[in-house]
Amino acid sequence: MQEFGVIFIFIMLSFILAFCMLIFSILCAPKTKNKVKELPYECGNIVNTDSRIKYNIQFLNYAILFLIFDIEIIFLFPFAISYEILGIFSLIEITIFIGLLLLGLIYVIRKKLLRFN
Amino acid sequence: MHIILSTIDNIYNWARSNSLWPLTFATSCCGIEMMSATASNFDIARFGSEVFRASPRQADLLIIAGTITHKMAPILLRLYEQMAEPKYVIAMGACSCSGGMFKNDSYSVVYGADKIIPVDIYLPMCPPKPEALIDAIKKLQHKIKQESLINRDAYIRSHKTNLQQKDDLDILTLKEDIQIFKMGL
Amino acid sequence: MSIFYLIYIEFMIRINAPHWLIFALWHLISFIFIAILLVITVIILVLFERKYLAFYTRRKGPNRVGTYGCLQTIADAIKLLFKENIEPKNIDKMIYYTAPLLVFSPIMTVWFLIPFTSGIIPFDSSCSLLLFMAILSIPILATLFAGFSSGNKYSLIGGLRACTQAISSEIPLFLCLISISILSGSMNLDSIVKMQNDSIFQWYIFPNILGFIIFFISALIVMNRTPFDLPEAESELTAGYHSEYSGMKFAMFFLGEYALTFILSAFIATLFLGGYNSPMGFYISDLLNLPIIFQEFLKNIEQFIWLMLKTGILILIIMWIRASYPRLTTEKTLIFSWYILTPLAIFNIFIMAIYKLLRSIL
Repeated sequence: MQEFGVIFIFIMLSFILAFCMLIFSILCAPKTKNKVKELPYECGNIVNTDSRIKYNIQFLNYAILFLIFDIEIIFLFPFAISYEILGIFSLIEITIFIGLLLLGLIYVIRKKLLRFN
Repeated sequence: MHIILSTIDNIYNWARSNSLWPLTFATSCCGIEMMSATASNFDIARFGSEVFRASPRQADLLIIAGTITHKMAPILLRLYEQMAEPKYVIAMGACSCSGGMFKNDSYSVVYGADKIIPVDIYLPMCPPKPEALIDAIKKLQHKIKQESLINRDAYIRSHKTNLQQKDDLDILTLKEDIQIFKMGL
Repeated sequence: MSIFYLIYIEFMIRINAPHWLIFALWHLISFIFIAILLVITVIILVLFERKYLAFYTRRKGPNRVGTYGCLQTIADAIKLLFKENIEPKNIDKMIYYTAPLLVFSPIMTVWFLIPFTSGIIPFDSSCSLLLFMAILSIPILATLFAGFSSGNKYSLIGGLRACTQAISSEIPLFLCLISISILSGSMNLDSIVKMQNDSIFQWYIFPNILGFIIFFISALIVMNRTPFDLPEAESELTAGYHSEYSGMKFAMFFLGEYALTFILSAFIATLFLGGYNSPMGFYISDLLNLPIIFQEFLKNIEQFIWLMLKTGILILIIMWIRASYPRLTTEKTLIFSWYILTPLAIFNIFIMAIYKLLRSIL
């Protein structure tokens, strides 16, 4: 556990470095506040709508699919490291595990849930 | 003290003049000349202007390449206002310098982009050769190198558009658009 | 322990330094080393990309700024430092200011995990592989933050598409890492490099060529590089996820992308191309007969040069691909990731497992 203190220190130092660069830039830059400057950019047109629009629901499909496969991968890492010790029996078990999840992927592909139209 | 300030000025101006990023704003035939200036025979990338940013917040040079019509004028003004300081403008071609060949009696063209936004370098010819555009950029670099950090705020405030002098959001209503339509005549 | 650490410890004991100072100063020195390396690498890489793409289109890249244009990135960085900081109206302030930090800091942190030479490993832990990819998932989230918090509906859509593209290609990426873990039996990057050390035929690219191709293509998608760089191209259409950023915040997106390119190429070189090992199996500095300390230093320098050579070849290939191919739309990229890359990567795991089984039997 102690070794991870080091990487935490490194993360903090990187954050501090990036933060200092930002602060330096904000202090040294010219400042002109202007109402039109702060409008949203739309190639010069006037923006009449709200900026938080309703977006496509298919993005949620991708997020859920990513979540499922990510958790499967977390289960695959211990298998990968101790594969030499465990032998062929673990390979058959992992085949069944991945196979069940692959069935889910094949279902999603066949039902065309990943297309945008 | 003066040596330190002038050295910092030199470095600051050198950095800004050697890395001018243009905004892609090509309305008309001069746009083709601007595109050919970025292509292989005449290369603006040698002078640091290789990345043409499409968002005005990240660009610092607005090359008005083409005719400015009455419909385009408010858009040009909003784009210029949305750019980040310090920003520069090159009016490329006869149409944006003074109305060009449309100045005789055209009902739809703004006679000169400097009726709308403040211009730094005027580049006549119809259309200017790409070497002329590179020459304009070099003259702009020479102009930038004569600025100084002390009068930076004063210099920026001297580049005011109609919007900044009025400082309200009426530009967004149709009434203000009609007023800009009237500006060209 | 490495030669540098031994020299440092001996020096510190000679001047009777307290224990906390020895610990803190060693990590501070490694942080400064990595920061300097990062800055130099990004400067060289931005210029190299411009000149390389110019060479492909028969132009000359930047050549006015320094000799052969070597000061161009410095001019760009100084200019971006002094640009005005525009704060648009409808933004979500906390997320808007956090997004560039979240893009740049994880990419800088990840530089500490790679073994540069056998003596310079800033952070040697038993799960570097997983930590590398876990930390690199944060910049993907940061593009979503950037798109959502700019008060611009096109930025929102652009950010969503960039994020979806990147997370869809993280799955084949992780699956190829699992295949490497099967081959090597550990997640420690230094052990993985040490297992590839006999000759070029021990490198993991040879049994795992399919994994190399899948990992390379998925890394191109994560880096938002052509032919999958629609998130950048969207800035040219209406607005991308970083269209409302100006000045130094934009510079963090811009330079962070090049830092990510370098570090992912170094990661691919570590996993598949043998890291800092030389392809002949022996080091050239071992052939000279010098006293031990000089030989160790020269060996470290030579290992660093080998790693940089391999990383450089991969970066050359990445930029070559950029100069040659048109872009794919986001939908085509997503379908490519889910329909082709993920099943192939799963298939690759089984091939590696069977290969390992056969090698342990025979």
